Amino acid sequence: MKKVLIVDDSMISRRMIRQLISKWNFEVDEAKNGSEALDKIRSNQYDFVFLDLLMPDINGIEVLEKLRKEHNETRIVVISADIQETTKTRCKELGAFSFLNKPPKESELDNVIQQLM
Amino acid sequence: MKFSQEQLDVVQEMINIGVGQAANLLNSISGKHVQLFVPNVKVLNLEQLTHELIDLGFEQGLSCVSLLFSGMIIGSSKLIFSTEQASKLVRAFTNSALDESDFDEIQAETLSEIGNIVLNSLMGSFANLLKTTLNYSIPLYVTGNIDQILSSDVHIQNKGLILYARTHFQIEYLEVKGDFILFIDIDTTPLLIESINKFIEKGGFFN
Repeated sequence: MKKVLIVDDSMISRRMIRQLISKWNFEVDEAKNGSEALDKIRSNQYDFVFLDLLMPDINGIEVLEKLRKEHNETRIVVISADIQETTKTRCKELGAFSFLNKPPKESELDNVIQQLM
Repeated sequence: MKFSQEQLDVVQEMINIGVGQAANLLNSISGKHVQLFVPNVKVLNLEQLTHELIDLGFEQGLSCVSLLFSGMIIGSSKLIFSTEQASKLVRAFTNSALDESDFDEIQAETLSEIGNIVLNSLMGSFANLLKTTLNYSIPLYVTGNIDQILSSDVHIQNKGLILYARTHFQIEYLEVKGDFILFIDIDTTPLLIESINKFIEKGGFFN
C-alpha cells in the first residue's frame, strides 16, 4: 500500500484532499504545518506528499528548500492557491514533482497520481 | 453571530484562493513575484478592528482602494498601502518621467485601476466559491489615517460586528508591501454560514 502525506494548515482542505484520493486506498497521514511535515517526512518513507504553500510557521517553499538541502527525494505535489507562474517556477526549481492550483479538480489529481504510480 | 472553527477555516481557505488569484493579477501587472503571507480571519467590533489595524501599523499616511459589495453578503474589500509604499509602487509602474505636480492625481488613478482589477478578481473568486453573485461599487480611493479609511466605508460604519480577514503581501524586487483586507457585515453572515455549511456537506471546494 502506498503511503502519502497531506500537508495543509486548513482542516477543510486536508479533509477534501483525503476524500478525493480515497478511491486510491492509500495509507494517508496528515500534517498541519511545515515543521510537522518536515518531522514526518524525515522519519517516514512516503511515496508522495501533497504540500500546501501558504502556512504559518514554516511555509511550503521553505519545506521544499529544506528537503532539497537534505537531498531528500520524496516526491512532492504542491497544491496551492498561490497560482503565480513565478511561484510554480520556484517550486519546480526546488524539485516539486507537480503543481496543482487550489482547489484542484479530481481529474487533475488523478492524472498526477497516475504519473506518480 | 458565532463561527465555528471549521466555518472560519472554510472562510480562510476561500480567501486564500481569492487572494491567490488577485496576487496572480498583481504579478501580471507588475511583472514581479508577489509573496503572500498567511491570512488572518477574525470577528471584531469596530473599536477592536481599529485597534487591531493600529497595532499592525495602519495608523496614518495610508492609501486605500475599496471595492464595496452587496448581495448575499455585504461588505468591502480593500487594497491598502502606506503612502510611501503606494508612491513607490506608482513610480515603478509609471517610470520616472513624471510631472510631480500631477503625481497625486496619477497615483489616485493608477491605484484605483490596480485596486479595481485585483479586488474584482479576489471577490469574483470568493463569490464563485460561494456560488453567488455580488454587486460591486465603483472603486473608492481614499487617503488618510485609519479612522478616515474606516469612516469612508458605509458598509463598516454603525455595524455591531465585522468579519475581518487580512492578507499581507510583498512585491519582490520593488520591495513594496501592502495588504488585502476584507470586511463582511456580520448581519449578513447567517447566509454566508448557510452557504458554507452546504459547501461542507457537498464535499467542499472540489465538487
